[in-house]
Amino acid sequence: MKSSDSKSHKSKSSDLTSPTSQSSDPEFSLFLGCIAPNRYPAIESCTELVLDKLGIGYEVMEEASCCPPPGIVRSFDELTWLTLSARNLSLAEGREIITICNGCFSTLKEASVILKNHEVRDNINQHLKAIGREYRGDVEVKHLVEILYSSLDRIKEVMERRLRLRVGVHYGCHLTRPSSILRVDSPENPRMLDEIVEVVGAESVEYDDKMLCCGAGGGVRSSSKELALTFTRRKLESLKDADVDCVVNSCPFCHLQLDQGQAILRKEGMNIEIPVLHISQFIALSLNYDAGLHQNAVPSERIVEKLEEKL
Amino acid sequence: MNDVCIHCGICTASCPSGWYTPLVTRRVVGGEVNTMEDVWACVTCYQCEERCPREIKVVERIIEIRNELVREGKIFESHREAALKLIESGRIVPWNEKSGELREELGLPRKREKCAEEVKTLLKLTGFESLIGGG
Repeated sequence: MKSSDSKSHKSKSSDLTSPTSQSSDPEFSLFLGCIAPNRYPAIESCTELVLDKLGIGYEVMEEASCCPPPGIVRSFDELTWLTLSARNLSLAEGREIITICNGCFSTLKEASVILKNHEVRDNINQHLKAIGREYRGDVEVKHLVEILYSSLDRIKEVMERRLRLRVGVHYGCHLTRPSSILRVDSPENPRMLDEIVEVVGAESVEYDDKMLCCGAGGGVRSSSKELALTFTRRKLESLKDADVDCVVNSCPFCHLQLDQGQAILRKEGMNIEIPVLHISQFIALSLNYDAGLHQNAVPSERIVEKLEEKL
Repeated sequence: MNDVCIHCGICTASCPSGWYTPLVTRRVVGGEVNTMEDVWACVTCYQCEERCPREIKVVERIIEIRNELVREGKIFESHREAALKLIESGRIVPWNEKSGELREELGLPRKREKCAEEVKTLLKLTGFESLIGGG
């Protein structure tokens, strides 16, 4: 087995009670995926800041590859999907993985369930042997949303300002579905994201099509941009009807579709401008941190002005 | 058997792609549909599976059909390009100079991924490279 050369991040706070954050061996491996680091790095920096503030010890998985995605790559070749997932899981042996993306979460969690079967695992390990790795089958996978949800009290303690905003939360598909495998929250009426935004002072607004896909998943964004944008437009129109200040998501791929897709639709004449924030950015705002919103395609910094107005 | 379709149509009624495309998930389950246009209209949202009273793995079936089509050499060009990115860089959404600029602006390391060589080896072993036509 190769040793990981990832950089360790320990909490900056000194008054923490969590044993993990004080440990030199962090409890979690942070899996960043592709879209956050390479298209929306503010999601990466906000995630790190929030975990630090909450006193959650982690190490960034710098040797990780693409998860790979549950729709597109799994649809090309199931064996390839499982093999690359197993390699990623093997990098975290001894720790739990935190993912910040629904696609990464769904892939790694489902693969971890499939790979509990030792016959399947042995077969995949035959391939991993060629690169000097082995997956032993004992890595658990969590989504950042689960970590935040189990830290609501701690968030209340460390938050520095209430975000008095009307928020439309967008769960996306692969945070809760397929529920028989992911077992996170209700697949029809989840509440975790709603409660997280509410704990920092926002109002989670109900809207039509709340559980509708952003349109990007399953390889559709790549093969049929028009179909993907049809979903996105419908979602954005419902959010506009609900008069939200912003939309908060748990997935950089949904984030990309809602933000870049919105920019395309605006060029085509759609009169909607809704800032898109990943949950890590939203919590970072409550910590009075610059959430890097200027890197969004849709003008999003006015959300900060709105916060000042509502103080 | 709990996996026999009773033709209730709840999968089709729950399918958002079905609102906008000819995809009829009930017909996919019945083995009547397997064209590229049909199976690649699915966004894998899993609403159909969640609601199926017989717990039929509808999305799994769609993914199986997609795998079969790829093995027959049927793949959209945009998908082949995405697959080639995975082969080249280990990522479907690879790092580029613009990523480096955005990252540096936020005080993050310009680039911190190291996976390409190992992924390349694995993609040869699984047959993905020859499947996609990259090698």
